Amino acid sequence: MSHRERDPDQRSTVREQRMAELCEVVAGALGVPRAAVDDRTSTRTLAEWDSLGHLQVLLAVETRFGARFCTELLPDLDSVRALALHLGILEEPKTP
Amino acid sequence: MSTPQSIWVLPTSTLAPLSTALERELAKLHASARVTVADYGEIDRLVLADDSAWRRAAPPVTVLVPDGHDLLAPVYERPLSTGDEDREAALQHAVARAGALLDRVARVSRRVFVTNAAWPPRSALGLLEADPRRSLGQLAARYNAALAAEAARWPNVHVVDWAGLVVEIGYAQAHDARLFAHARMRLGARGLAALAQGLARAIAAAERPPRKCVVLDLDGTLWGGVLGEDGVGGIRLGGEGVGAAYLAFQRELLELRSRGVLLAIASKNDPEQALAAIDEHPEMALRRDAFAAIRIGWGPKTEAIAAIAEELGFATDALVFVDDSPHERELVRALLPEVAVVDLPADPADFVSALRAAPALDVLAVTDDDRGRAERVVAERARVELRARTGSLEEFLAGLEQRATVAPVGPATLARAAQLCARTNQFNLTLARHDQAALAGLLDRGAIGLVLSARDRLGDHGVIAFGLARPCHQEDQEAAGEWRVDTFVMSCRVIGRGLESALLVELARAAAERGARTLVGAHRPGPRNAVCADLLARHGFEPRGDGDQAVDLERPPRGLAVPAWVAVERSRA
Repeated sequence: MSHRERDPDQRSTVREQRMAELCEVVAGALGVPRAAVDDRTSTRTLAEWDSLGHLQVLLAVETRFGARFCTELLPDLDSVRALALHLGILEEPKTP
Repeated sequence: MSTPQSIWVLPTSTLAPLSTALERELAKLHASARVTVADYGEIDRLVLADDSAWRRAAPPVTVLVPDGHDLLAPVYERPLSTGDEDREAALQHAVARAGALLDRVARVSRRVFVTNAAWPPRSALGLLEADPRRSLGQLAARYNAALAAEAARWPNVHVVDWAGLVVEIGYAQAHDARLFAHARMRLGARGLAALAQGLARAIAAAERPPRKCVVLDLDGTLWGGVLGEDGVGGIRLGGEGVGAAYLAFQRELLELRSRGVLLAIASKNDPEQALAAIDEHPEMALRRDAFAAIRIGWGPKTEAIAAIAEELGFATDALVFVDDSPHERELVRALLPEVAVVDLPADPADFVSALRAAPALDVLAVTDDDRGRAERVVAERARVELRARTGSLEEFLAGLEQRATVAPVGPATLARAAQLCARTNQFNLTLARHDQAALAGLLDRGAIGLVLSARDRLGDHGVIAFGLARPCHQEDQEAAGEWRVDTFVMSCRVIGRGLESALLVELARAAAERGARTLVGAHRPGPRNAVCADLLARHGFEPRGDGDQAVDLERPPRGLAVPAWVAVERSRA
């Protein structure tokens, strides 16, 4: 396992798979085609991701990834990118 | 259901994600629906305002989800600081509010469902929840009893036991304080799923006729082991261990039977040995007379199931199939997709809960007629067997010890008489379809109406035939004392027993007592009533030129008589 994690190619493949899974869950929760969701999708880019859609996304993502976001965070998880960061799929950009 | 039906859900807190969850659960039960969930805080305005979106939609199905936290908010939120008086006032207010919503909704929607109230077992009360004066559980129970009483005022309103569902999955599992803080939604993912399932089961149960019969396998289903290998003494049933689980399952089936669900057997076994086990194994809870139909042999189960349906007079979509073998279940699913199949889990200790969880057996109400059904059907099977055993039809009928009671139709039987007129297609001489008001009118104008109830050695049939004779009003007929058989109907359950003779003879006798000298009648042919085409001829009625058949009541023919195997009693009411 540790050997595989050190392999950068393997690691990025796993990341891509989990990202694709996240996009699929978000699309399913919002009732839109899979192709309508990518890593740049957010409440600002997709009309279906309204306040109801947001509840659906939170419920679906928590269930699929076994996660539990804290209350303070809930309003901020308004993009695929934010969700991916908090699920550990993406890493926080390093602050200078 | 072909076109999706419109369902509106009116909650007191945010419940928006329920729409897709409920549509999905209904689809699993083969019911397609478009679910609209009203926004948080909208329920009272939507229901009470005349021009609201809900009123304009006038959906056929409306679901009210008044959350206990919202209805009983002052007490749920401040259970320690709310005094007795305020607590009572909150309860009364909650009941009145729910009642007012129901009154309005029950007039608009064809079917209405309302959830009862769950309660938090761990509130600010802490251990004081055990104090009945303060307990939120006790308060919710009183509210739920009052809600049930409000709902019972409307035939189209059903209560969905949300409190029970929450007990099943656990209060903490069902609710999510984060989502309430974020969006005024009280339920979490588990709670939403449980609510969607509970509502879908109730909605589906209301929309389709209940399944009538559970068809059961024997080996591995009603007992452990293989009868053909282990013998009657070797099968596992009763006692301690796995045998106790099979016995518990049998007792659960017996409970189901008391609700009117028939039981039948479709088993691949040696018939003699299997019946010996059923009759003689000391621990069997389900003896032979618990089953309405039995098919034991080596043919395919799908054929046995079809034969059971035919014997009981049901379509196969009225059946539920229960078998521990996944292979048999798959075969039935593939070849008889209309049969509901219950997936028994691997461990027999889980059979009871699998049966309880099967939506195919859901009903929203149980009638008195349902309760007696299983006994009636088994008695009918005994009649058929008796007939097969005794040589001639006459011996069979004599062995039945039939007693017919004939009485003038009265307030207690008029509705049944009208029902027989409406429903009888086979033994219906004239195809007259008088409703209750029309019958009352005819009786007021001098007609004679008689109902016949029958019982025999094996059971009571209740009122199964009705005849009505009336004086003819044309001048020459009136002078001749002519009466006409206006209506003569008998339930198809008792065709071929000679009971019609009892009714016809009594009708003629009653008419003669009222001054009739001639009784006339005619068979009016319809699509299915050929069975009674010879009724009048068999009883000595002679054809006359005008298409009618007549009998002279002053010199009654020999044929106008009751067979020896029917004892007739006259009753005045």
